[in-house]
Amino acid sequence: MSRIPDIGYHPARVLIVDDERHNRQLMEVMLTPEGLLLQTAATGEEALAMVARERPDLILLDIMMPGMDGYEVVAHIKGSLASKNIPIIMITALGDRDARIRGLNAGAEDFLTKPVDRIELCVRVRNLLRLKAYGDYFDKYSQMLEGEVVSRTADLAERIKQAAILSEQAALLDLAQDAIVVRDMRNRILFWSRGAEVMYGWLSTEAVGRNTHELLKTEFAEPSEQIEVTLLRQGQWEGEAIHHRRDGTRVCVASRWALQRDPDGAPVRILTINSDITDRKQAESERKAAEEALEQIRKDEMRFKDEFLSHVSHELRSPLTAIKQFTTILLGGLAGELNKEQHEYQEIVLKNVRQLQSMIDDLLEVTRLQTGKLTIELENVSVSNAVSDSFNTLQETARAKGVTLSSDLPPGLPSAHADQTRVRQILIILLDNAIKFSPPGGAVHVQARLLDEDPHFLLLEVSDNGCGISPEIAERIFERLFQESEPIKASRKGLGLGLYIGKELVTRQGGQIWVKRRTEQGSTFSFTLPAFSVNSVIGPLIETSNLDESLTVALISEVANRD
Amino acid sequence: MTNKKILIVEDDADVRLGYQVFLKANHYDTFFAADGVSAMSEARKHQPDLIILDLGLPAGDGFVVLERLLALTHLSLIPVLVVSAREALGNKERALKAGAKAYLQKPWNDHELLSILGQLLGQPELPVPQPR
Repeated sequence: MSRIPDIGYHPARVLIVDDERHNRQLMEVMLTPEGLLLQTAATGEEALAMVARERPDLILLDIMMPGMDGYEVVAHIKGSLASKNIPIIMITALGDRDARIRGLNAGAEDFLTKPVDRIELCVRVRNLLRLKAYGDYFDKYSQMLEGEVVSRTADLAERIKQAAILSEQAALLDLAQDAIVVRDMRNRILFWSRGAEVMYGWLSTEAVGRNTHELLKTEFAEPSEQIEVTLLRQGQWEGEAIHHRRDGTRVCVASRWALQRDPDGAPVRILTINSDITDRKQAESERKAAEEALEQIRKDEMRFKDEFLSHVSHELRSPLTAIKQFTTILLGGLAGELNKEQHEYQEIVLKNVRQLQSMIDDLLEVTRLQTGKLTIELENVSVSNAVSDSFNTLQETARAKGVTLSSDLPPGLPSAHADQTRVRQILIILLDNAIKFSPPGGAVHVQARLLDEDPHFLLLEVSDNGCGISPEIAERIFERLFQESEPIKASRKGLGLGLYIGKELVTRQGGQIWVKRRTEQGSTFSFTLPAFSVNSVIGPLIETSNLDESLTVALISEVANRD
Repeated sequence: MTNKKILIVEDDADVRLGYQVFLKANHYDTFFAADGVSAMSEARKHQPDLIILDLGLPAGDGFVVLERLLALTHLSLIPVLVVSAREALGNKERALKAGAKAYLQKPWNDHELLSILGQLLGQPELPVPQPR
């Protein structure tokens, strides 16, 4: 924008240079009515100093001066860029043509001859001052124009640079597959990237100016008021939304918004980047559905397994019941006396029925272990009771084989913190196994004591004087379905699940089980169980909650009273 | 002294015959029902001293029969021994909770059966095992 330079009004400054004082005074007198600011100098040097300092608008210069003459002064003034525009009127002697030409050549603008005529002086001064004023005006104006041109050129260069950056950025934005949309605070679209065109099917020319939510039929998972609050408070928002393409199909997007404010802090624009996550969503929901289906299959399978085994056990046990009933009837002589041979054979039938029965029981027990249906209820278990119970159960089996059962239980042995039924079950498994491996007339011995290494555990041992177990087998004997492949021990029958069940039961009660070959003969199966103590009951309580001492004491007395 | 009367509710004919022979030899009078519906009518008709009830029955689960028996005042005092070839886990507790006096897993041992009968019918001539 161009403006008229404001030079303002100030009285013109005129410098009178003459070595003769009365000449200077005469000139001052003549020029006084012109309303000028008059200054005087008596020598060329003084004149130059004043020019440099005062910047007069006009100089009246006497040529003939001692020292530096007028020509020299003109040359100096016109030779300086700062002063060359100051008009100079030379004062020469009448008829001195050479002097006039020399002065004009040196750069003076005009001349007057002595004696100076007042009217002529005033007219020439006025004219030159006017010219000077014009010259100053144009100078300033052109300076201003020049400045403006420079600044405009710089501005233009900056704009070109910015435009280049912007177009580069726009190109980058267009490269992005995400939809990049800029909108104002009334949701009118200001910018619509190439990605947005592709994602939504609306061209930039169609989209710009439209309301973004109307155009895309936006659906948010959270209330839009809430989103606005988040955006205004935090300057950004991130979330998922559903948009609609031009053809009406839905697009799931992950959307990121950033709020732009003007320098005063007023929100002006919202920048958004939307990534199409429809496929991801689809894949997610498919994966979820597949997982659910798989889980259902797993559940169905588990239920089927349960039902199947329950069914099988029922179906196997029912005929077994009838076989057992009638074997018993025959053996009891209820259908007539049996001879010795018949009796013996019926005993064999009965023995096999029992084996079949225990196999079914084992099968079900393993199923319970695997389906997590086996429950362990920890209580105060008397080891001697468990041992005598298991002896009772197996007394008949042992007697049939001539195996003696004995035990060595120290008095005052602490109880086990275990499940009574399960402890008895473990003992029965180990005793049954020991009897099975004992030679006729052999001996099975049970021992119990506190574990030397850790008195928080009880150690129970079942020893036999059978053939013993080789170290290789000892490692695998507790595996599921383990059976020694050697066919020597024809008397051994079963599914090979017993020791596996035994190990699981011991482990689930917090103990360990192992076997070793005895030095003399036979093998010893050992297992540990947590000993029952006040600590084994309230220990975990104290660890999990910071009980104070008095409460602990109260708990201990409570536990003690329970016994 | 007259024999005690036992009603056996059992769908397997072989097992029914086994009961008949064995229990008769042990001086019990036996009556039979092969399903839940006839179990109720036989119980009303014979007023047995004890009922042996198998859980796996056609026409009505054994538990339903147990519930109905115990709901009728004149039958609710008859002790019921529940017998099953099914998994003992869960069933035993459920049966005892529902009011059965004892539970026996099939196939049972003859002395087990006799001792429970003796115990429930007040003829403790046989050693009674510790119930668990």
